[in-house]
Amino acid sequence: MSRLAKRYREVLAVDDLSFTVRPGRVTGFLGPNGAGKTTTLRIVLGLAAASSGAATIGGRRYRDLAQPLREVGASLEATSFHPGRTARDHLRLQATAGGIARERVPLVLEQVGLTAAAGRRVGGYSLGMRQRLGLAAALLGDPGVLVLDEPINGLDPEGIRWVRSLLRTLAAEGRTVLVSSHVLSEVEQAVDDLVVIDRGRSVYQGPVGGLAPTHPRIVVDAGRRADLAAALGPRVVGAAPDGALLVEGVDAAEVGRIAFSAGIAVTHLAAETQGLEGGFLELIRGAGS
Amino acid sequence: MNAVGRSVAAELLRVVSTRIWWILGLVLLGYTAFVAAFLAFFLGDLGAALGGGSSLPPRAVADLVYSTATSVGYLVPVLLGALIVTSEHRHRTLTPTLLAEPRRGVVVTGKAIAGAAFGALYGVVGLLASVGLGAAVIAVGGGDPLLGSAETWGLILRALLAMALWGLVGVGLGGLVANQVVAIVLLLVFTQFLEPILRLVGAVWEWSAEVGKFLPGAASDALVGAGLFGSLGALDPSAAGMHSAALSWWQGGLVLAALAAVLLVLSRATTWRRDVA
Repeated sequence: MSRLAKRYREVLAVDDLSFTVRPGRVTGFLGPNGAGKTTTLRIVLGLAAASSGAATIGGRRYRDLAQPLREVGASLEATSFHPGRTARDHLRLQATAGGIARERVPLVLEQVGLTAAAGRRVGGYSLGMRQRLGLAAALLGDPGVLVLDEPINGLDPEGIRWVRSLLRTLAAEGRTVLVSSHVLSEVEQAVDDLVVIDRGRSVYQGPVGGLAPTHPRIVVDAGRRADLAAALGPRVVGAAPDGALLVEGVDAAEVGRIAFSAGIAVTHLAAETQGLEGGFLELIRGAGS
Repeated sequence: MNAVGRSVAAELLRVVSTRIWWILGLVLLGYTAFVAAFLAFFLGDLGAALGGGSSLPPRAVADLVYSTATSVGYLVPVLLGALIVTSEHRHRTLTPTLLAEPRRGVVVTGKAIAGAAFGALYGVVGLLASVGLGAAVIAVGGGDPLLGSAETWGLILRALLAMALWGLVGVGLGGLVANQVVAIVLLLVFTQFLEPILRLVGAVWEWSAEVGKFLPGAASDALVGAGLFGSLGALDPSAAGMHSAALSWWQGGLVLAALAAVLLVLSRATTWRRDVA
């Protein structure tokens, strides 16, 4: 798979959304619940029709791929299994339908750690096991492109670490990996690029580091809080829950100098630690106003 | 293997990897065997002697007993055909199905062929019960099971065709209705309640009998060449005044095939076109 380009123009759930996902990188597809992530992925995978615009994978629409499972692996819903069918049978039948050698089935079962449970009916599986089975199905055709919708939902901490390292491995092998989530912190360590959408519109596209808040606020406090506020003047924009001052427009060092020159002993001085998640939330709040 | 071949192979696997197909097969085997043995006993010379009634000619007895595979058993292939589609909606498994084969026409074709194949398989099962046990009971009762006759084997072949067509009808109906519970209720109400009443009432007047012969169950009986319903007049003297009308076997087959085709095309144009959520 040399390149992956997608363009959408759907009026309601997805609004004039365009983005490109590149091979060899993990791209996070972020947005709050109901932002249109799953709808977008369903359009990409040919399950839903776009009202306008088009989504292409390597220049072709999903339905134009002769044997799509060998080019695109997707895991959309942890509930999309017949409860009375075993995991092994599910994968065998997907392999048959997708024109994939049956020898792949035990391999992907091993890869996701379901070998021991493969002969059990999926109805008895936990959510985490269903996620693993969904990943196994996505990996079945050894595809160059992976589309994973909320693959971390329902996993335990060990499972989350496993998925993150799997995503990194897949991208390192040169594959294109698109992974959606509504919680940035879940995928933050595993993704290179981000596409953030809100109410169907793109609000951020770029490297994950670019999402960090550009002007973190400073939290500062002193015994003589009122004198400190006077010294900082209009740069004080509010108060923290504990009464400490929130300062914007200057960095922590500058706040320290101002307090020192006013002869005020500072008891607390820190940049607000909200990280990428803060930038993410800021973005979504900003888009809403 | 081409796309349709892959799709058919996957659909066959889909059916045999859950339990319902053999449960239905066992029900078909047991129920048909019971009805066939019951009829063979009471229509045979022994039963006639016990009941004091007039005995039917051996040909009529054999046709009636052997055709229970379809006249009693046709519900099973149509039910499985419907389940092939509706269980995908019920368990939300259309997503993986359409990911593997995004061309929906190919998926519908694969399901239709699988439905027909399982219909034919159920035909074999039903005939094992109706001919296998029925012939034995006829022979034990002193009658002639007519197993060597070409007419008997013609009926057997036409019964297999009828069961395959019922499988197709099921896939079409399931595709149109989509909701599994609604599809099952519709099938049970129509086949077990509505159609028998319509056929019974239809037999009261000549004009309604002419219309009633196009009902799917009547067309199926016509295709096979015999059925419980059409033989009512022969079995029950009180029904002697009823009007009976029947299509020829190939007309019956065409009516069933047309029903399946209409349902499949309608479902492809409506439900199968929808977005999969």
